[in-house]
Amino acid sequence: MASRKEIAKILITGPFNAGKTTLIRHISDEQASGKDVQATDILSQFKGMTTVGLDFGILHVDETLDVHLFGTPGQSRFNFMWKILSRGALGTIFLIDSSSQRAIDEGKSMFQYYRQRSEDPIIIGATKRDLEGARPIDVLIRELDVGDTTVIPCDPRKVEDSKTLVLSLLQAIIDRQGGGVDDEDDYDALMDLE
Amino acid sequence: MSEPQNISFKHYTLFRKAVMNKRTGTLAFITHLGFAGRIPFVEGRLVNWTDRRLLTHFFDQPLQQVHWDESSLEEEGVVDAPLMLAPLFESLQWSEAYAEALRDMFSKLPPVQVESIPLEFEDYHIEICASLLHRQSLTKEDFRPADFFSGVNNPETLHVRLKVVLLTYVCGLMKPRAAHVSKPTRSANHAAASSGIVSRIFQRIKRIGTS
Repeated sequence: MASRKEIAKILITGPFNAGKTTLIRHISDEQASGKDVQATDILSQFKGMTTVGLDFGILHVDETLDVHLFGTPGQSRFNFMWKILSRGALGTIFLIDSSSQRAIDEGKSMFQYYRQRSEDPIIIGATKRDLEGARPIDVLIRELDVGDTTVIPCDPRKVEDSKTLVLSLLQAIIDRQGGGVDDEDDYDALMDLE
Repeated sequence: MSEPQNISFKHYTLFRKAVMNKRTGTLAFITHLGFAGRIPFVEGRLVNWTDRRLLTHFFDQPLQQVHWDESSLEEEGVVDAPLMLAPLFESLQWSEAYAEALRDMFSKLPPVQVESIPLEFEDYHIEICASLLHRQSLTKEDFRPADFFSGVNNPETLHVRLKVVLLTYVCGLMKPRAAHVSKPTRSANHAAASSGIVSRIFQRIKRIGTS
């Protein structure tokens, strides 16, 4: 009997038009857009979700592990979907169009919604940095009120930027799992410049 | 006046500890050239009225003395360290000897992981360099600051890289890479299982676009 593959889940969320679909496209081996789902053997189980605009991608890691990337719809009225999808997820990438005040306003309420309901690792990717009116990162951090959450300027159209975002999330997950340093003394011993 | 032979960088460690441990007090210092100043911290954040000129001297020349005073300060006009330091670092100037000493010192650090600096620089050279440091620490196994300086012979490039490394270091955005056994927790088994998965995904993501 063939062994069953393990599935890890990563969520890509944030307000509309931030680059979620593009990010998923770069990171996936197979993908389906919410607007045009091509049902395959693997994807058919998600067919019923197409009407709400879910993006979905699969990254084949190895023979026994796949990563499923879910891009939630960019409107806050679909927040309930995030709550469902986030169960068992490794973490979340929150993308935000940093040039749009409307997106930032929407993003702030979405982010607070997520933060109140989950302590899972989350990082923020600030996109559209090349557009006029893009907020400086420190201003964006203030406007979104994201506390200590890491905010990374990025352009999901670039594969390397997409990779950096996912790697940053994975690093945050590793840190959360206890990969960090045990206590301050260890830290000082390792990082003391003398 | 020539610089001392054995330059100490202990003050950078003290600065970093104040930021990371969210300490309140002042870092008092006297530079090799005789400038004396105090850098106030409120819960690890800098105070707006800090003299920028003295703060620059804290970073651009050897120090004779440095001392941390624990004290209570009012939280008035505080600002995160990266935000206050970034503009100063853009115009920071080092002698070649001091830059080489910094390079030598940072090259001794163990493997590190680096967080993204939460702001953007006016100087795009520094901006690109900061992004490069973050990316290299994510993608290279056992990344060390020494790797970041490797093969850099151009003094201007070296200075830019040193600025980014120093800023990342003093702001607590550079951490030793995981090399320790974590304390046991109730979720240790789950964490161990999922950390194997995360590592495999990590390696797979790194390979995207390289084959």
